[in-house]
Amino acid sequence: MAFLSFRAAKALLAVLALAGVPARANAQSLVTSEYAVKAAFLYNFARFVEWPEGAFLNPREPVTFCVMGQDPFGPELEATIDGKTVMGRQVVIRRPSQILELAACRILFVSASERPRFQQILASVGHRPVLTVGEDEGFARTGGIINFVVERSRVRFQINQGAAERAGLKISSRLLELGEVVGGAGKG
Amino acid sequence: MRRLRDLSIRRQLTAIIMATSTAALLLACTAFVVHDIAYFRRLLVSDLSTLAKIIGSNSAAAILFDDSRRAEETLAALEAEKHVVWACIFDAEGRRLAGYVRGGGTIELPAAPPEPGHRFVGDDLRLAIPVVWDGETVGTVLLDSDLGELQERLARYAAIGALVLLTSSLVALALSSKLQRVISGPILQLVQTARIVSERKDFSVRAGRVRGEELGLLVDAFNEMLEQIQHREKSLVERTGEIERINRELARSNRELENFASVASHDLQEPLRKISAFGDRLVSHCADALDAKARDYLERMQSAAARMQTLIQDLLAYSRVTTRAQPFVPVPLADVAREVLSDLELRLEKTGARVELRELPAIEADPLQMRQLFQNLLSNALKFQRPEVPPEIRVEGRMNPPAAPGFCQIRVEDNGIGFEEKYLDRLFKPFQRLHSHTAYEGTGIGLAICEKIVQRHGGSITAKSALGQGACFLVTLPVRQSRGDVP
Repeated sequence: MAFLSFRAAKALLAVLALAGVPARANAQSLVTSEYAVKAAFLYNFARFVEWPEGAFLNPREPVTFCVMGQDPFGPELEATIDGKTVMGRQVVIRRPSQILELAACRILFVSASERPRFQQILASVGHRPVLTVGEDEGFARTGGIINFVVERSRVRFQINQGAAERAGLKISSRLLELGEVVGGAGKG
Repeated sequence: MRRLRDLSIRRQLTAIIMATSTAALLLACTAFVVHDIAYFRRLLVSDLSTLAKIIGSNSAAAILFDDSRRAEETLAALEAEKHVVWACIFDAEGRRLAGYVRGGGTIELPAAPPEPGHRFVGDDLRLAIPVVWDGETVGTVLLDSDLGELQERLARYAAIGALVLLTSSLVALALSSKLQRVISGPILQLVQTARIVSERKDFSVRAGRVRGEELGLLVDAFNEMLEQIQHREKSLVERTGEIERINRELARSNRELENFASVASHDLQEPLRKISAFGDRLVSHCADALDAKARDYLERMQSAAARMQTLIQDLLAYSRVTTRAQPFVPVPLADVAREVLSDLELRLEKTGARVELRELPAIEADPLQMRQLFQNLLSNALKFQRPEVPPEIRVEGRMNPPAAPGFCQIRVEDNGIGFEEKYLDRLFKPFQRLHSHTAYEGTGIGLAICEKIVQRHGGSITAKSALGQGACFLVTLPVRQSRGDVP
């Protein structure tokens, strides 16, 4: 099961930590684990963001996580998110290939592979309350709300608060404290 | 406790009050401190757990986003909590995300979180609480606090307790030494009064009256007792005076009587000797002129005069037991008995008597009277022999008989005619005889003298017998005489 393998990776990290290896530095540098961490972060971003009233059609509507472009997570996203809830709502993962399919997304991860289409994708999202997350310098500049960066083998993130405000999303101050707040070029 | 009993009542009361109040105070202080320390420990736990919750809530995001730098920053805020020795934040997987050591010291921090809860470890309180965020346990905060506050508090309590104890002891001492007088005052006054009474034999003193139920009663009863004693003492002195007067009177009249008997018997001898002498002359001068009847009368007169002589001599001997008394000295009774037997040798031969002389002790007595005692008892035993039966006499003495310790018992046993015990009373009365003087010679004074001698020595005499069964005389005499006891 994908979930178990994720747990196993975490356990391995714990073992490394116990073994006195500077685990934290090395752990995230493991290729397999970078996306495990990012998957966990992606889920947690959703928990520190407040969607505006009326963003969801009804109380039972699930929170849809979308991965656009080439999926770097492999099984990690499902392993992290499956069976969990956000704000008491079910969680759903979709992997749309067409921009037209983005309407249901509440959290949109844009893969680096979509670099040429960043502008296009963000434009289609417009000012709708969608938490856009990328992992490319260009994505942040283009107007994405959160952007993963890897600093000294550690996964960190940038937050474009202006973009979030334009999308009508309220990002928790706790999350803002942890990320690097950037101005970022945005529209309007 | 033994020492407390030896103290004066004043000190006893003060000590009791002090001990009681100190014990009560100590107990109260201890209870208070124990309660307060327990309460304070709970407070410490609750404070520390509040602190841990705040840290947990502040670091939840850092844990979720694996941001140890932020977590360390959160922990760094503990610098303001001087009792927190070290702290750790663990993520949900139990990895240590951040650590903090007071003053930037180096301590081996635990690698994994313990079970949630608090423990007192040595001088530290260690508390682990889960970090819950959005209904999910995302990590653990572990805090270690020293108990410096608790120890400070204890030290403060000890100081306050000592001060309170000292102050209240001083106050209690001052109060008790004042208040104890209510009880000790009257008692000490009673003691003082009792001392005066016993030292000066003055029964006219009285203890001052006091209020208070029991003590008042005690003092009143004591005074009443003194009054009764005073009253009795007075009548006792009066009666004693009277008794002494009567005693002196009696002694005087007794002396006079004895002197009279002595003088009288002395003077009585003179005319008797004349009667006897002139009787003799009458016989030698004109015996031929008298007929047989006249000679018979004359003979009877002479014999009566002789008997009178004997009676008077016996009377003299009887009175001399007290008038010619000698001081008491140690007397070996065996020697006395032997001397008496040698004096009686002639009579022993004549009667064919056999005397068995057993052991006799030495006692303090009048030697001449002891001699007379043995003389009379032995002659008695020889005298009242059964016809044609040679007397067999046994003399023995026993020290400290069970019935009379400190005494010596002398037995003089014979095989003579004996007597009926109902006449025992008459046996020791002067001039009382159980037989006619024609059957057995003698005036009946011998045993009376024996009794008088024995009584003078503080002893007693009695006899056992049955008619024709022989007689046994028992003399009990003290071994030692008290000094100056020479009546």
